[in-house]
Amino acid sequence: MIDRNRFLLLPRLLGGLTMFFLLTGAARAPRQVDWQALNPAFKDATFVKDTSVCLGCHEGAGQTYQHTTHAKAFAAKRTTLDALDCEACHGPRSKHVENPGPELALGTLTADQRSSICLQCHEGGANQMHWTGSAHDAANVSCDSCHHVMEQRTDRALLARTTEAETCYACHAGARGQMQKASHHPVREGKMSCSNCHNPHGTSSTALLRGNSVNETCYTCHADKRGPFIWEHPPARDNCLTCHNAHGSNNRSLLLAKGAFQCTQCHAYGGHINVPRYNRVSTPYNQGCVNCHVSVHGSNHPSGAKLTR
Amino acid sequence: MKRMFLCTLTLLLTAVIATAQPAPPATSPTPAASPTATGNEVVIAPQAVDSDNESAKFTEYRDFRDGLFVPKLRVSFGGGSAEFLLNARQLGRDDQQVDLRAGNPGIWSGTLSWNEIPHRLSNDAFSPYTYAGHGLFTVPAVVGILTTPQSGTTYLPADAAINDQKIESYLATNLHQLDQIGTDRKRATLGFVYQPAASIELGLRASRETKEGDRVTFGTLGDRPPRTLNVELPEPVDYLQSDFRFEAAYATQRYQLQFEFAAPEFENDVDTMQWQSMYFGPDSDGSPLYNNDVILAGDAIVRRSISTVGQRALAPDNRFPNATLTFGLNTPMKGRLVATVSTGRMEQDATLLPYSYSTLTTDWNSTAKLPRQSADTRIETRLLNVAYSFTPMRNLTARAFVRGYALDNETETDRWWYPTQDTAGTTGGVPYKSKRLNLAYGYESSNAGVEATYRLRRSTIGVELGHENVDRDFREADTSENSLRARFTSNPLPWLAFTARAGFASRDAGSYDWKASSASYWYEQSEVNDGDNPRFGFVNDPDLRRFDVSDRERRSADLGVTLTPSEPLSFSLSYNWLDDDFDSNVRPIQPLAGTTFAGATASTVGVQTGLLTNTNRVVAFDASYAPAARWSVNLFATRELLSFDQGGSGFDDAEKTNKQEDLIGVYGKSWADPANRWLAATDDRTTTVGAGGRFDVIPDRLTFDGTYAWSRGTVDTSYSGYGADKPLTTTYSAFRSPETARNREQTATLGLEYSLRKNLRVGAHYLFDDFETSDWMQEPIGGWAEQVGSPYFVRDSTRDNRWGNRLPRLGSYLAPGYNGNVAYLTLAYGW
Repeated sequence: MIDRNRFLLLPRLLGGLTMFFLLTGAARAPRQVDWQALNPAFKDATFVKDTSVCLGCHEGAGQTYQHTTHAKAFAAKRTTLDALDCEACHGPRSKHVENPGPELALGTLTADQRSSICLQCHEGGANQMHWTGSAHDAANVSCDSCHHVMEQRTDRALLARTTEAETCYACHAGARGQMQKASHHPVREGKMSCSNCHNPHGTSSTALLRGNSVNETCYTCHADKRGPFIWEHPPARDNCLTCHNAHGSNNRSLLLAKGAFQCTQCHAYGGHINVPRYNRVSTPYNQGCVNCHVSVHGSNHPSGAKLTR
Repeated sequence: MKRMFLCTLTLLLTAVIATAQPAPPATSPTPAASPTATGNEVVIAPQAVDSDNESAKFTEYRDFRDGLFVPKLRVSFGGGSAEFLLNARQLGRDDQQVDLRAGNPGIWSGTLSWNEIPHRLSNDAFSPYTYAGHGLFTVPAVVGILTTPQSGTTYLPADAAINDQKIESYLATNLHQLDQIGTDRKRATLGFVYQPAASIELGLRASRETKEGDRVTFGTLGDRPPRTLNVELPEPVDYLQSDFRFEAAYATQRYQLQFEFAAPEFENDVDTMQWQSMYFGPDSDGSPLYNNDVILAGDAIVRRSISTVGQRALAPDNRFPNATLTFGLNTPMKGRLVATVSTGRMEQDATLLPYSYSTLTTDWNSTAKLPRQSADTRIETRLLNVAYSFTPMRNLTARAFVRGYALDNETETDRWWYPTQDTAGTTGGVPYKSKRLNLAYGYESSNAGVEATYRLRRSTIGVELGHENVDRDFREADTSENSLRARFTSNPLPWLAFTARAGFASRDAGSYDWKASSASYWYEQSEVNDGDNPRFGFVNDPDLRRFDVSDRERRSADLGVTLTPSEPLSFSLSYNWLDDDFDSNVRPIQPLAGTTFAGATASTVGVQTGLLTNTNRVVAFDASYAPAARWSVNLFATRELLSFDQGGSGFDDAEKTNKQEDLIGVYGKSWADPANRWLAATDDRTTTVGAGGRFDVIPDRLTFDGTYAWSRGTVDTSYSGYGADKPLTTTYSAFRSPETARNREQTATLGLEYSLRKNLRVGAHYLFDDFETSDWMQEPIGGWAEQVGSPYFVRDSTRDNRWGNRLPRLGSYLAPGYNGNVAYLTLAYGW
């Protein structure tokens, strides 16, 4: 039974943190980009600070934009950037108003320059804290590669494609094929998404995983495998991917190999566990070695040393 | 749980209505609201389903059935200081999902979601077992197998054949179809985020998930492998998983802080699974023990006591409280420092079962025999991750990182016994080899690396050097790996993007300790009385290298091209290659040198076994064309080839410490005999192609859409060496290259939607799904296994007198191939 007394500390911790944040909180002044450094054409440009001027020409964009999460958040006027409205992301537009043209278009900026605009507001929190230097940042992926910030095309996250998986498949097309395999996580059925396991904005883990390790990520849903067990199976404790491919497999249970071929990659004791077929045991059919070694993720039975119980 | 969901829904609605205020005057005129961009909609659909065999695979993660349901419901209202959004899918079905969000953007938001995920595993399982609740499976009668030879003192294949017939007859009488095997997850999540100031964000999230149903498992009884009496049966699943999470974030222009505390817990309502033996019942004294007769024991006859009830510990209740603090700091030269510290504790203290359900004559069913009464397992996790990037000169970004992650297993090691499969000698004794130590496995990994990225006008060049050390307890090796990666990305033309990456990594396992697993035994050498001796002999073939801790050379390359010749047209093509070579420079050794065993002077073959190489190749193509709002098409294709080679050696435990020179040339005896080596090369190929399109036949009135996907996966294994040239009826280990295992699936969807009025739409939709599977693991098609009377009893084709090679089972393809059709009409009303 789980002893809950250990969590008595939690309310105090929460209270203390809340007080700290409330006492130190103030209207935020986000880090604003240096527009001239991004594009020298911004030199001498000033903020117009009048959205109606923008909408005079960009009415269509304004109509779609007003339904976005961005538009609603900006309406709260919580930060100094909010007051700039369109120019918070598009930069000072006085020169553009005077002489409309493509010189100040954001499309001419590099990927990291475009992302730096978004990071004015989105640099903190669990999601984007690790963006700078992350795998996607280093691969020249910018925020607008995956997000369509001017239009609410999806119910959440302003994604560029219809679903999150489709957004990822645009570059990770191989993953789409893996998800089509007979053994797969329910991504194509819409019951999971890539971000259940990965944070595309960067993490402190490998492969942009949300957990501190592969296993911590997997235990989020498969907590029955977490243990710890009296009898551990070290490769399973080490890394679930030693035996499984999370993106899909032609073998049952997302396994990398079929039946005894999975186990004999590491086990050659003599007798039945060093060959794929041995007529004393039922390894060449059903679930192979797991037919008897059912507790392959670890056993909590006192005589579970061989993971059979 | 549903009550909690409804109560929270009511509270959230109340909060929204209470806080809904007229929007503050806009600082600038805003365009009129568009009713369609975030419109409300309800879709109602009657559905008809036709499947040729109602395969569980067809409905593996989804619910198709005849009748009315609500595929979509979207309701949003509010604006200004409060908004509300309800999004629901598949209402009325077992895969329904409801997401509700309310809040004031930028100030607070509350979310509530309900998600049901089915996982169907079998629709076609038969068993003599009935679930009686509380983890207990019962049978209506027992087979009454012969446990003594019909004549003489040796249990012969003819005796086994009689028992096979008895089991076949028993199953014919007692099998009954089980309800569908599978599980249902139902998860409720409640979240609340509050921003008291723009710089502060506080979040709370609580979730509660039940997972109920059953899955497939096995119940072993009897003795160690040659004599194991096994049966396939369901395992009850009754899990409750809860999580509480608190997050606090603080951000300034200069730095950001984020703290997270999480307390996930797992509870299993069925701690123990028990199953009656279907083979024989208790002795006449009524105790759950069978020991009155001489039990079949392979070739030899040994009197044994066997429990007539099997017992297994299921997943224990456990928890993993953890806390993470992340700090981000913006520094000069466009620098960024991010540091993460995390700590957690995985633990469980489940009460332990006794060694056996039965006394096995000397109280093996008493927990007093255990070295401790509860599991008391504990693993501390620690993470430190620091990354710093900056731009020392124009266009050059440098990044350095260090990362340490530790699993510190603090579980105490004790001396245990292993009464093999609930069996003991009639004196209550168990073999000396069954003295086992639980080893508290853990590891510490540390990584460090530096990267440099140079950004040109249209190209980027990057180089990364990395190093990783992993120190492990109770494993064969600590490993050290150096890696080098380089990447080049370029947009030489506005319509062309090119990416190339290459990597090389070399992992060194140092002095690989092939004796590591011997540490889990606690018997003394004075107790050794046979050649099958794990502790003073060896546990694994000394020439084997476990690939996860062996030497490894890894090479990888990725190429990608994206073409966008015009705005609506894009193509992408990528190729990914990864190659692992686990060659560890294995040389012949004398594994028993220094012992008094007869095999002390024998040398191993000196050729590595285990996983030897692994290569992955993926080619992927994606294209889309959307020339106008009226129509669009997309295509995709992937081809993946996974190849791996592995080797092994067919030697005999019982001969392990004997003089190997005398055994060389005798089939399957010596670990020093190169003729006993085998190799298997596996090619696992998957091809997927697909297309999708949408066409407004009559703009704003009639829309057509369709998708098609075809996928084919094959697994080919080429087996050579030991046993490949022997008849399949050869005792022990003859094997062949198995038939190709195949999975093929094609799905197509067609949809037609017609707008009757501005807010009223009707539609007709159709889904076709066809799946075929053929797998030598699921049906006895390789020649080495055969059905006995029905698919519910399989045995090795040698038909010899071993019990471990027979399996009464739930069926062959528990989720077979299918041909399914789903049609539904929709009536959509928007407002």
